[in-house]
Amino acid sequence: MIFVTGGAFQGKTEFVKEHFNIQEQEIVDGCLCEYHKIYHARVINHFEGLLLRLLKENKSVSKVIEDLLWENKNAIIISTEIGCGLVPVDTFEREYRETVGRSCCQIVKNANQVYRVHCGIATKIYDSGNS
Amino acid sequence: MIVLITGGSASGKSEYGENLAVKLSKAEKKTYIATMYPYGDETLQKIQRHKEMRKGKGFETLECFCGLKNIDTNNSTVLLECMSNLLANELYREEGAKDKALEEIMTGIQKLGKETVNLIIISNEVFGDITASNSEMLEYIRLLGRINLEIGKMADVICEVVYSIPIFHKGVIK
Repeated sequence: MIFVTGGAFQGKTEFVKEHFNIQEQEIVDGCLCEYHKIYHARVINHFEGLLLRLLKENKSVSKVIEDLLWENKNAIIISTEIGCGLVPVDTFEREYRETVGRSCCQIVKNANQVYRVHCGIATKIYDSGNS
Repeated sequence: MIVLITGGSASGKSEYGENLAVKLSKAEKKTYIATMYPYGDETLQKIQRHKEMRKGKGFETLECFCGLKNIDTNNSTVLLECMSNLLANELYREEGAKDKALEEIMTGIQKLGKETVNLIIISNEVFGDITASNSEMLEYIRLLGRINLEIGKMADVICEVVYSIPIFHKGVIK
């Protein structure tokens, strides 16, 4: 598994397409796609959006992540880095960013490589050496 | 050694800090300075989660909501968690230093820096999203920024934790 993060609109998707030679049709959008598609897609974009949908629909985030880690071990997961502002007043927003943080830590634990993209420049911040 | 650890919400900075304290400490005592004031279910749950996470790692816990300089941590490895709560306490709690919060906190940090074997301070990344902030919130963010800068100057290591991965901005710990 490969995990790519960084702020919004920093060129994460472009980096993934170029660096891993990915075609548009190999990418699913976590904000919109049918859930079953994440288990087969080469790239899952907007992982943070997927988590938002799951929370709003009261679905089990931990079950989806567990299945994802099991069924799609070679996926490239792109997630916007959030949670770097003040703690939100709204309870749901607090739960959401907490969920994104914990879930991304879980993905990273299972990732071979982690990249962080800043202004279009990707820095590899982790490499397990097994990829 | 003085280490400043920052990171966003749920980034894994606490777990990293705890493990670092265990790694850096030798025979001396390990002290965990807890700054979160317990109120409401959500904070109590948070405190409980942290207690369970550091269970078995050998920390003695000292609570400090305000007045860091009054705490006795002589010759121990200290993990202070976290600066964002300590600042909020000094600013908004009745016994807090209010407009002297920055000076109060830095006096405490300088004292700890001299007295401890290792001082690990956990702070937060709250500087990435200031659009919705009113002037009080902005002042809080400004002060936390100042504190991070001042501690950063004293620190041997500045480490930002991104989803459990440490990124070193000053010094390095292998």
